[in-house]
Amino acid sequence: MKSFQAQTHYEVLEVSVGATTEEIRRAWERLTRLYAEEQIALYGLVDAARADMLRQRLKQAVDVLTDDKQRDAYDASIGLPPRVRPGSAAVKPHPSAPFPVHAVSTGWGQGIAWVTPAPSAPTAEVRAQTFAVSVSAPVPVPHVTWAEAPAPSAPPRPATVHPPPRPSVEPDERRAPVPVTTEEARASGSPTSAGDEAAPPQGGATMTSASSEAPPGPGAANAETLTDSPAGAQAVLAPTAGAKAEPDRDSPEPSPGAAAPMERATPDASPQEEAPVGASALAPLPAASTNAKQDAPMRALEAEAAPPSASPAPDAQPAGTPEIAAPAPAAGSEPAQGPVKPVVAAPAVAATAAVPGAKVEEERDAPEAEGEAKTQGAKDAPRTAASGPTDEARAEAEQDTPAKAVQRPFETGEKASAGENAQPAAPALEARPEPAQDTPRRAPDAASTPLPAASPPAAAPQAPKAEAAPDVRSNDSKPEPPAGPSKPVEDTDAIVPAKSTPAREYRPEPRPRPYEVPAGVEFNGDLLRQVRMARGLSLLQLSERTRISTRHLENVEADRYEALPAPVYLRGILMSLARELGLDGLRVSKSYLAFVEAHRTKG
Amino acid sequence: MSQDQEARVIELMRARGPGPTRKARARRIIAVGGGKGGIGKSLLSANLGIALARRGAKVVLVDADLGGANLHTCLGIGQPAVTLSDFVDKRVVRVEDVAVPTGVEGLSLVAGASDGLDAANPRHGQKVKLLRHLRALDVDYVLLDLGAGTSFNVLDFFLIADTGVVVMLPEPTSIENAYRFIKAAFFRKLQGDAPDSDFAERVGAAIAPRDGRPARSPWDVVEDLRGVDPAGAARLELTLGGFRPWIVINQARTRNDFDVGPTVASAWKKFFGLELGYLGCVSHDDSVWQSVRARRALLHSFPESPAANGVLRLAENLIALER
Repeated sequence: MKSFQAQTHYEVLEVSVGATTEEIRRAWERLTRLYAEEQIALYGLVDAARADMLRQRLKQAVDVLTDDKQRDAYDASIGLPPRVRPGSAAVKPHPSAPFPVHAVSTGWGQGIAWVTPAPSAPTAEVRAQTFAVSVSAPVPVPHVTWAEAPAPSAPPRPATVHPPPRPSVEPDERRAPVPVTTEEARASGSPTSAGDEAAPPQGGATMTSASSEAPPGPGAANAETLTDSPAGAQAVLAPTAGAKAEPDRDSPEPSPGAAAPMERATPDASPQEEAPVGASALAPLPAASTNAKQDAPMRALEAEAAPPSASPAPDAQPAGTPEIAAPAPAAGSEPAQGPVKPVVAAPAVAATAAVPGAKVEEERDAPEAEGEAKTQGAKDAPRTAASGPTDEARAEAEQDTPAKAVQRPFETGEKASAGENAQPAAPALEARPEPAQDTPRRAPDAASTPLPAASPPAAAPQAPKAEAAPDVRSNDSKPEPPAGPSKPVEDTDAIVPAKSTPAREYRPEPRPRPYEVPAGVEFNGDLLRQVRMARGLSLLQLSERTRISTRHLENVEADRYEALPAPVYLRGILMSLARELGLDGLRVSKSYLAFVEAHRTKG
Repeated sequence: MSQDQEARVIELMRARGPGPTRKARARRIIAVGGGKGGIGKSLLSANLGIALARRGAKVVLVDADLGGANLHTCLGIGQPAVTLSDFVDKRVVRVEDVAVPTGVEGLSLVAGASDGLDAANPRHGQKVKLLRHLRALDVDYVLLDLGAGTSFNVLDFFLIADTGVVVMLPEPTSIENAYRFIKAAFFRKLQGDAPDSDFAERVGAAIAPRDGRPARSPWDVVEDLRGVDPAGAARLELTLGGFRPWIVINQARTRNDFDVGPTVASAWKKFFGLELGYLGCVSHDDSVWQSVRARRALLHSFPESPAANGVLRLAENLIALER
């Protein structure tokens, strides 16, 4: 944590980077009142001069942030992606989403995006955005790269697609399949204006585009190479966390074993990334940023082609769960990156079971469009290659859009955050096994059966590996420790918790950083469940932590009001539940109890 | 609410230990301090104890205000026959044995030393032993009511707590003392964790800069240390990050008063980069002094009063803090 001198304007004002001018102004008014001279709160804390400094700092911050031009410049200077102005995208709330799209971040390096998936496939231009951040300067690597995906001519990348059904590979053999997570493709016309704004103040995310057709070779995952390659028919978010666990990443041949969990973002789901890296360390690298827009039509083609194409590999595809392993080769190039410590992206995407109709549709459309492209690009994977394109669309896709944007969230390797690694990584760890193991099965029916966050037992086998990952990397002096709080949440609207990687401040606080849920959102059981899953907690784990029985938790989440204890006790349950989830307990209990009350008076 | 429903919920609040083999340990120690005298520490502790006990927790209130114990009065019970003096003077072996019932189910009281200088100024060895015993109490909550001032006795009790609560009134005197108390606790904690006293000094100086010195964040000092002693720096970092007292504003009257708590927490963070939580506030209420006059606990005599509500909210928040 930093004192106010070192904070960004956003942190000083205690607003999210996506805050509107109005919010910023309000925050400033509030703080001005709090820190007014006549306030006694500062008495005895600091001398008047420092209090004045703070007030000036607040003024400066609000001046910059309320001026669009200055704010843009400032955002760029601290490495934030360009904002999406309200109004640039038509907001159309998803029916299943109890709330609109929001991307918020807490001041301390954690952000969450509430994404409302669009029911249909990308309509306008789908952009895969690449965004890589490095912490330390020395390397020529772009600090912040904001690359927009597809350039057919991209240099080949060793990202390979593995068909899911090969989970039985020995752990040792598992080379580093990069868990592929969310693809961030956004329909620019979609409501997710959240995307850019979501990145917390100092956030940086790595979303590098790699062409999937590339021959497996080192450097695939390399942020550096990736970033300057504009290619990417599709963006795949590959958290290096679990995948890189194996030391022998270098072996070029892709082993399907450690099935990389792959999460698919709905077209407009935008991963949140953020890294509370020192602002000073961040410098946007304009050179590397490429904006290539992928044609919607193209996408559409692919999307359509995908379902019908019963190519051998594709068992996973319909459901959108092909696994893409970015071969370890990435390691090879990592040294080059040296101190690059890209950040974290933790997009979790989900389709809500609760609203089957919309969800299913979404799953069908969106993932296909994207996933299809992925598989195409990854044709070099032995298996997929064999299968070959079955239809023209595929072939076309293969040729034209071999590139694939691989987004791999990294975590800053700073020692300071070492302690924290374990914690943020946790969700990912738990989540990862699930896709890995379930992919084959899940593929077909993913749309209809959302898997809950991986249960502890399931997570167990793979967890160790993932945990080991950071160590391995650091030992090898590999600069990109796996970050991956990205976890596949199966259902629900996308809740995208971004991971925090404090540059130097240590945060022993075991409690998750609070989620900021937009005001006005009511907390029903469903939302609580979504947040829990976004946290990567199983009911059992939550129960252990809160000492609330799973039965109660289930009833709360299922909104079975009649089965819940009396309000006075329920309140306590909700408080501790919310607390554990990093929510505002008072707000949650108040909101939830209102539902209970309504139910009781009605029934 | 039926009886068994109640029992079930009570069970919820209990720790689920792995079994009887587990070593007994107080699940959570909460210390209530604040630096200045007369700001309602004892009153809050007593009523928090009642509130927690009502929630089904097993609570021991410890009057750690060794020189000026009067927690029993706040609870409305007479001077207990056994007090902490008996434990400190070794007339009683276990601290459990000096705990007396309070009339509230689940709540017992370890009364403070009544008379005599010995108990009010325990030797270091005695204090350490007492701290150790308190930690080993097999209850859900141990609530420590601290005395005023920033003596080592007070600070050490404050620092063994899992949750340190700092009470302050929205008055300059109290706020000044509260800051002093927090800083002193911070210093004291550093003394135990800094690799050498020099660094403790420097980190401390960052929080209480003398004239002429540039203001630095304690984190900067840790950064300096990292070059010399990475292990020490890591430990110190832990200390800094783990130091998170919670403030409570008592006797709030105006709207501004209610702002004081969040402001203090926010200012602490902004200026020092350290955590300071805001637990809640209790409004000024005539029923408080009336209850003290009547020598009854506030929650018993005026359960519906605004102050009592404030206390209940605090208890909720304390419970919610738990993971």
